[in-house]
Amino acid sequence: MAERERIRNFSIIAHIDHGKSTLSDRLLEYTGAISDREKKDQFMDKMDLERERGVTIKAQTARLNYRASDGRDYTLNLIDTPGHVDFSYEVSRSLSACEGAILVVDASQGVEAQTLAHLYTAVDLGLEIFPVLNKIDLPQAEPERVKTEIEEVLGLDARDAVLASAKEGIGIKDILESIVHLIPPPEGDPASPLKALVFDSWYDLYRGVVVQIRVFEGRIRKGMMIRFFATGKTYEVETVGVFAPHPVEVDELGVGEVGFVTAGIKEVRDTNVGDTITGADDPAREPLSGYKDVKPMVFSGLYPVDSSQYENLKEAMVKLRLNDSAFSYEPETSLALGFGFRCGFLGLFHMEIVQERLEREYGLELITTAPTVIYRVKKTDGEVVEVGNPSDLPPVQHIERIEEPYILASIHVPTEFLGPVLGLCEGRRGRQRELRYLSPSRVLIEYELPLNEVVLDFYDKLKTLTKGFASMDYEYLDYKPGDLVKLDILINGQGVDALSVIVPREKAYQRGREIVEKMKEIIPRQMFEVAIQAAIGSRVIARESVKALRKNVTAKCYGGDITRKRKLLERQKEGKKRMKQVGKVELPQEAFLTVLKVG
Amino acid sequence: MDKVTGYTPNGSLGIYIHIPYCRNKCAYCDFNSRATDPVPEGPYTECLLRELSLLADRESPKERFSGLETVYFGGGTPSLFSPESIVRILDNVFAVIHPNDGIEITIEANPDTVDGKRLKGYRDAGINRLSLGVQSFNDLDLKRLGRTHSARKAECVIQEARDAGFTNLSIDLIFAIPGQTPSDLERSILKALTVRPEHISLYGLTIEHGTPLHTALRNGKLDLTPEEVEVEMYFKAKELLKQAGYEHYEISSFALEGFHSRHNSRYWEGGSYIGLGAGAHSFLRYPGWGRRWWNEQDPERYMELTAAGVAATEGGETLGRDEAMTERLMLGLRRLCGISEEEFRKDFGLSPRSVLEWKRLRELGIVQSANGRITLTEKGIIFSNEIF
Repeated sequence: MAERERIRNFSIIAHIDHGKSTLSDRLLEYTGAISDREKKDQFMDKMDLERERGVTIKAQTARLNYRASDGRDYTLNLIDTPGHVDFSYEVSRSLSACEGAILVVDASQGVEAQTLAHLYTAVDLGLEIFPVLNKIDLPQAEPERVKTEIEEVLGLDARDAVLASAKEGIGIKDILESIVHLIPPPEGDPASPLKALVFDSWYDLYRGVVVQIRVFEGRIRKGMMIRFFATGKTYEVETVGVFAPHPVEVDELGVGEVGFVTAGIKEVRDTNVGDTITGADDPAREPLSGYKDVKPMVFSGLYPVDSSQYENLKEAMVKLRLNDSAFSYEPETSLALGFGFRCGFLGLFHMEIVQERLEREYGLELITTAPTVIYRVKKTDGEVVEVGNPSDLPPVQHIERIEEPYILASIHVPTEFLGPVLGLCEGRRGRQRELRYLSPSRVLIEYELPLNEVVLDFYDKLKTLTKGFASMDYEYLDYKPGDLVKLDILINGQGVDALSVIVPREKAYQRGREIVEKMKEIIPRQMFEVAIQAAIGSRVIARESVKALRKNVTAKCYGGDITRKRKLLERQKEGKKRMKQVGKVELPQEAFLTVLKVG
Repeated sequence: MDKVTGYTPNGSLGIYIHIPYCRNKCAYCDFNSRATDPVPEGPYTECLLRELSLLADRESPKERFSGLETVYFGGGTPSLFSPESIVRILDNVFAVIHPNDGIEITIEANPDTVDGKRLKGYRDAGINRLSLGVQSFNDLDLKRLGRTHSARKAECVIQEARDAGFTNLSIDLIFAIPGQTPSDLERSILKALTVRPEHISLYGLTIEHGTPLHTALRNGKLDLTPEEVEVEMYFKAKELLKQAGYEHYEISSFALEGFHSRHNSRYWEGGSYIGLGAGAHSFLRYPGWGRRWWNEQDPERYMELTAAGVAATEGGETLGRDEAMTERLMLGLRRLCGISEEEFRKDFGLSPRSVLEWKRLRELGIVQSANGRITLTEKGIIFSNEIF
């Protein structure tokens, strides 16, 4: 067990691409935690997807042994944090496990919105923070300007900021020394009942659920009975260990230590991030503060393109859920798409990651319906229902009021793009809360926005409008009433449930028109005319039609070249398989994404 | 032939010979042909013979097949080759496999490349069926198609063919030519009927990628015939031909009694054929569900390889059951008599209805069944791409 005085627990806060993963790797290398042989770039990001996108999804930790210039040996626990707005709760829990944080800022790009959000969390948690200017080797690096920005924008003292280049290995020792000297050692009473914070957990095929913890009070040992506050469930500890960064078993973890525990836990759901573990025999009276239940905020239907893949999809979801407690699913049936699942996600990014994993790791082809939020509907009979699928919305005459969730978005943008960004926010029914110049060239704007307006393509639009220079973070506010209606799409008079969307009344006409126009382009001509209508209730507000094919024949078949014709036919059949039949009409997969592509 | 039992499991054989040369390339044509002058008739003929002997060694047609039923010279423009070359080729073919009595031997001809003397030469060489690329009896249509002959010339050649002794004459007609009206087509057909060819092939113009017509279309310089007009033309033409006593026996083919194209029927019925020449396709009904192969398209490459004593095969495949079923349906339904449900079940162990999307196609009104046979409806013919 490490001596409390010589433990330092720290995180690295950085914007995507500002070099967090590279810096983590350099720290691991410098302290000898990983050998050259295993030195793959970005050791800390385990999943392929993460490496590809340069984003950390699951937090990782590593214990580093470092002999400081004072000649003493220290145990440094690096606690990695997820790097995207959808995972901000996980970030705050990871930070809760630390006494300090390194703020990494790109010396050429300066401070970004996400950095700011994480930094505020760290400040709120009372962490000691010191800045590091990374990528100092780049010719466009402007350390003095960025230092001023850090001081003005963040109110941090940047005079002693470490100048570093993780890529080139510059400044690594300075960072390690700063960790030792600037970040305080953990406090806590080893004799008190156990209090350990759960900051991550995942399912391991061989060990069951692995729980990452930080011990605040007491100690945790192999064989001990433990209890989770949130679920009240008790388990016997099977193994205790640390990641160095490979897992190493230890006898126990004491005050201030960071490590993992396995205890025959079957499901990740039983180990909520933010929960407190205590001893079952000598329990603490109060849990650590700050726990909350994370709830999915964005929902969409996932259906297999080939309905025979339903069972495979189900199996894949069960497996995925083992490792991702924020992801939820339940079976759903659509008249148009058949059997599938209504899935809940933390946000759009989370949704994309899940979809990608299902398609890539499990080889599934999916149709995704437009993402939606949870609406609160007060019915005329006084009942309040939550609606996560537009087709479940009660009939208009039974609705007294619909409420929708709002977020508070913080957007950082260079002044030259301010106009377009304000236009975007206003167009999405936003209400400005704040507009502040952080420096002559950068503005912070805060908007209250309906989440519904953000889930579709807000982030993409923002990036396009600002050539990628804007950054954004958001937090959930609460529900507010909205003048909302359900927009239905009818194909040859038949409603297609999977295409319904809930939209603000004022935008219904425009959206309806755009959707039917887009659908007209996507639906191939068939042997009969196909009418596409957008309707609110029984009132049709837009209409287009796809003219009937009059003939579809290529008659020749010459010189016995039958293979070519057959191959063509086989491809055609393959294409047909990917079509969904609505009445007699065949709809291509793309049609279900139309609602995503307009507006 | 099995020497003990005399049984030949693979039936008779057809031979297709591809002549990949033309004097000019027509504006709509995406067939494997090159506009070349002069045409390397001698060397190419030698290569055909070389390939024939290579294949004969490999496939032993004499033992495998009951006899040679059809020979078809296609192109390109086979009528660029002299009767002497045709004789030489046929002699060699007959040495490899014995011609059956009543063998059908067809040559495709472009009206511009033949005269009475040459036609007589072909007839003397043993060719008994002439397929003439008339395309239209309207000069404006011909010009738009990039044909170099006139309607008048085509009429002359038809007369010369009759004089030369061709009693089995087929003419090709194209409809839905940009600018062509339904009455233009009607006049062309009535003209054709006056010479009463034994067989008429009627094709709707398709604009293929890489052709001058396609380029014109892309540049907005081509007004396509509206679909409904094309459909009207097809039905009108069909009506006229039927009234004149022609049997509509395949989507694009009409014939007087006893004059179906036996060579083309072989394709539709899944019979065996060997293709010789650049880009030619072959299909043999053994082993299993059969196999096919095809040659290098480029004539020069084909000649190079063949001259070096190598079969110029570019690709090939052995059919599985699924492929064989798909082909049976796709080819069988082209014929107006359709496919026999019982035969299909006997061959594949499955009902053809379970392979077709029977319910959907029935609802759409494009297939029907009667007397144990599945056929396309009239509507099915113009929507045949829905099935194949």
